[in-house]
Amino acid sequence: MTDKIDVEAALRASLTEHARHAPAAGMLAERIIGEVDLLPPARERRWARQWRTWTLPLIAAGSVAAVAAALVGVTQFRHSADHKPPAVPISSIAPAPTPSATAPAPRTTEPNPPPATHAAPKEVTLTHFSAIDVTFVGAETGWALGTADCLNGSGGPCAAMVRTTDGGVTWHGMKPPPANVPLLVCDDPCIQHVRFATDQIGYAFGPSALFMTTDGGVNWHRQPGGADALETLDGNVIRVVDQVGGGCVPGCDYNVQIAPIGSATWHNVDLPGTYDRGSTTGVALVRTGPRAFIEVFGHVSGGGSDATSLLYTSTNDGVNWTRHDEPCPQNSGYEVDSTAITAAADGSVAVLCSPRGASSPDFTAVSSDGTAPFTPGGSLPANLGGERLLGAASANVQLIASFEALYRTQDAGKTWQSVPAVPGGVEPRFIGFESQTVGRVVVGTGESIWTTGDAGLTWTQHTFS
Amino acid sequence: MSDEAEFAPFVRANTATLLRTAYLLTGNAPAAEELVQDTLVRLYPKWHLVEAADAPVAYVRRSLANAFVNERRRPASRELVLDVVPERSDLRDAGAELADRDEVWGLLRTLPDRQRAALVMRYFDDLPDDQIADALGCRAGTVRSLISRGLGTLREQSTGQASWPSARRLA
Repeated sequence: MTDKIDVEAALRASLTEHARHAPAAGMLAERIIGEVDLLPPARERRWARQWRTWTLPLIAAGSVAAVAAALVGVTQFRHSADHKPPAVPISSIAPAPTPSATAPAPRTTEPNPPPATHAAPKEVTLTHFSAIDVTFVGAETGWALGTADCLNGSGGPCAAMVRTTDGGVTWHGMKPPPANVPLLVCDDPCIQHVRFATDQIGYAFGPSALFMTTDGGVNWHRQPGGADALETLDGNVIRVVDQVGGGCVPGCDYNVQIAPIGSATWHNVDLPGTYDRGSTTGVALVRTGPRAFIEVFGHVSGGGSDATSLLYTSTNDGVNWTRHDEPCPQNSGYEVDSTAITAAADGSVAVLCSPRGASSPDFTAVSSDGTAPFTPGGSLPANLGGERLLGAASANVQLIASFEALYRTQDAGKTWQSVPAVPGGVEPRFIGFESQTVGRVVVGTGESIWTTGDAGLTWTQHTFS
Repeated sequence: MSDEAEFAPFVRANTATLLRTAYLLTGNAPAAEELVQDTLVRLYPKWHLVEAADAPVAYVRRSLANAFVNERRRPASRELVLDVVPERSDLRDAGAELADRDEVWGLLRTLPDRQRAALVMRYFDDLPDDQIADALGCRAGTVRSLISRGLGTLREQSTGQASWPSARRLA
């Protein structure tokens, strides 16, 4: 009887534990809704069963015409009810949560200073904008990449971009790069992230595509290759590129390139040493001041052990790199793997650590500069599930955005409190701080952004549309 | 309100819940997403039946489990295009799975689909026998048999595994 109880209890605990590793739902929900949007209304479907076969070519012709029309004028992703796309979110390609995308205050010197005045990008009226990534160049000016209703009236979603110049209170549509964004399907060129170095020079990218603008988004020009991760600060830009342009997880082989902002000429830089390329599952790049950090993630679930991450640090804007072992403190009984990294404006670096022991809760660890030892905090709330995003305002103030809630610590991870102002029960999409006080969070369907000006104590919600 | 108007809010509100069950059934994220997507898209044309159910989420969950079992029954399931190499599943490398951090999880994934589905619905979704039977298309007595055999297999395969996790360790 004792054995039976143990087996049942162990099974229940194991299922509860592994359910937390289920993929994030937000993008999938939108893909499903997008897919059924392509179907005729229910009433028409009932009629459709009674149609004769000769009507089918007409339907096909109409579909072709509709698709052709949809390809004119606006950037969008291609989807067809007859060709079901794979149900693989682009987020699966880079499973590690996106590091803080809002850069700490950049230096004032720039190798390619923009002219004093610029024409604002032509405003586009958007409806139902849903953000997948956000970037700011200071407290006032920012951009969000996402989807919105197509401008051709097709009713489907298209790639879209919005811009704010008042700190995120109001947002205005602008022309996006001529690319697709991941939702129902993401054909090449596919972009997932956006970063701006100045109010004129910006990048939109994914593993297989990179676009650059030097006129504030009026024009976007495709650059060779793509970027699994890209961050711009200090007048230069660093990108991490896999050798196949995405789809290589696990087993990616990463290269690093740097360039002055606004330049189309990239220079290869070396990451010292070797790593087990067969077990890599993603890469993250974060920056603070002249320091940059690249973390190559190991395979944290499935397979054997010894698949820890590697941390590369640079103190000169990515020109030279030093290799370090897994930043998460290890336990003698089991392996601990980092699954996310973020850098704060005070120069500290925090990582999210996941022990492989099923009963051991996750925790964060923080280093004063990314090279000093990472000090572990206390246990995260035990009920965190799905995708978790890590952000940090400083070494002491960290935030975890999870399905259940937004959690905040102000003692370097020793204790955590939920933030009731930001809703739980929805998947997180973005978290980032651009200073030690100003930060942003996007959760759920991506229709709103929450902004804090006091390091996460209080939050204000604004909608994109 | 039309079926279409009800569908989107339901999907946004419940996809995460359904994904968790699907992930436990399939054992890997891409297959779980595909299972949820297929289930909901297939139900969409008859969404009025979902709305009319006493517990719409339970209705969809049962459809999901049913789709999982029936899809996997086919000798050659349709192609699954993946951008990510999935986690190992099923019987492919059960021995290596034991090296994973949770042996229960590894052992569960070696069970036949119907046993695994029954265990997931019982011990994760807390469904009663009759609802599990409805999902699997069998009688309640068969459900009890599936669960009994599944637990028996877990208990049997754990014998000799020195590191069999105790309930205390996993709790």
